[in-house]
Amino acid sequence: MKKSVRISAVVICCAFALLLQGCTREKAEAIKVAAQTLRAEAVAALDQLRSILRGNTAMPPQDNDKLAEDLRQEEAFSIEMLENLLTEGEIGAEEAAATDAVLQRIEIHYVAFAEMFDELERGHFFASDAVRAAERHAVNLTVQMITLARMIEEKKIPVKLNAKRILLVEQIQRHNTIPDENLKRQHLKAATQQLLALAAEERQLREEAIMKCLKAAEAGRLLTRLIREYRTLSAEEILRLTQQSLGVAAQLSGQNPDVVGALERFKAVETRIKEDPYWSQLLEKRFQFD
Amino acid sequence: MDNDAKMLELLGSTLTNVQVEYRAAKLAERTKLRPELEKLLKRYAEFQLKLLEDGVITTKADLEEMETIREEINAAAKKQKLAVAIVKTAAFVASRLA
Repeated sequence: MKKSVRISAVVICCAFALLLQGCTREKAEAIKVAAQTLRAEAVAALDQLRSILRGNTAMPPQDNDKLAEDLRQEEAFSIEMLENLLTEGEIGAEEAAATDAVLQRIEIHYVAFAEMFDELERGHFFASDAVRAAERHAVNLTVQMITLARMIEEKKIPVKLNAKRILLVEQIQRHNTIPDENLKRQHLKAATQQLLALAAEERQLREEAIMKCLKAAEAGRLLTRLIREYRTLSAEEILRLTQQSLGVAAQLSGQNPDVVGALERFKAVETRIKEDPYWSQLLEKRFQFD
Repeated sequence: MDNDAKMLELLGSTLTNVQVEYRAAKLAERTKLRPELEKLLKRYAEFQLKLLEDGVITTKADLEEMETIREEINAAAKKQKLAVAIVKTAAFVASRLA
């Protein structure tokens, strides 16, 4: 009797231990890492957007020589003028804070999403329903990044280095006052080079921002797949999917990335989400597709 | 480019022109120009913000749901810890019954 109790207990223990230590732990780890990757990529993309939005309206720093000259010429310097000079740095600060708040609100979702899975490795056996409930959010967060990339592409989030543009305009205006035609031509030729360099810099910044959003979207796409197939994916399949996703991310980060091609690819991802009855149901028609 | 993007571009160009004018102005003129500059900046920022808000999919309710899911996963982790402890205890008792 004693022996049969002991054998039964050992068998139950082994079976339970197998359930707890089985392959779902690897899946849990994969989901946790994918969620952290999504957060890191999204935060990087949003940081760049924040900097772009500030740059779109920024003015260059005050030229001290010009200020000194203005002060020298101003015979009736008043307290209003002083007040204006002292507070010039505050111009646009309120607007920048409002824009930052919207981006911060988006960012919080990615942070909260990743934090959801902090304890998943320790609770993978009992957490499959909770993981399933997270899928809708993974889809939303993925689509959010695709939407931001598209907004940059469509110039609803323009990318312009406003301070550099202003300096260039001022420079060209100064060159145009040069009386010597030859000298003026030389200076304007140099300004043309600066103009081309500025255009290239803005284009590069724009492409970088789009690619960062798409890298985050790719991390979200992998994560969504891992969550959706949480119960059925094998460790080998997880590894294969992760490697594929890393390959896509590497392409997006490479030299001279194909922005148009990448946007097309993610447009296809978005369309798949839209056409998939399972995913579109998850989105609850909150997001209106084109 | 759709109308929203065109409008934003137009507002942006106007703003940059006023900023150039402001920087070139003498101190007395700058004081007079500042309200116009601030008004334009506000208008541009509000329009950009509207476009940005239109593109935001995630909601406050999502955030609350994520918190609930996190709590469920944390509860699952506690439950699993307890289950492992029970299994270990059972294994220990079984070995002592020998």
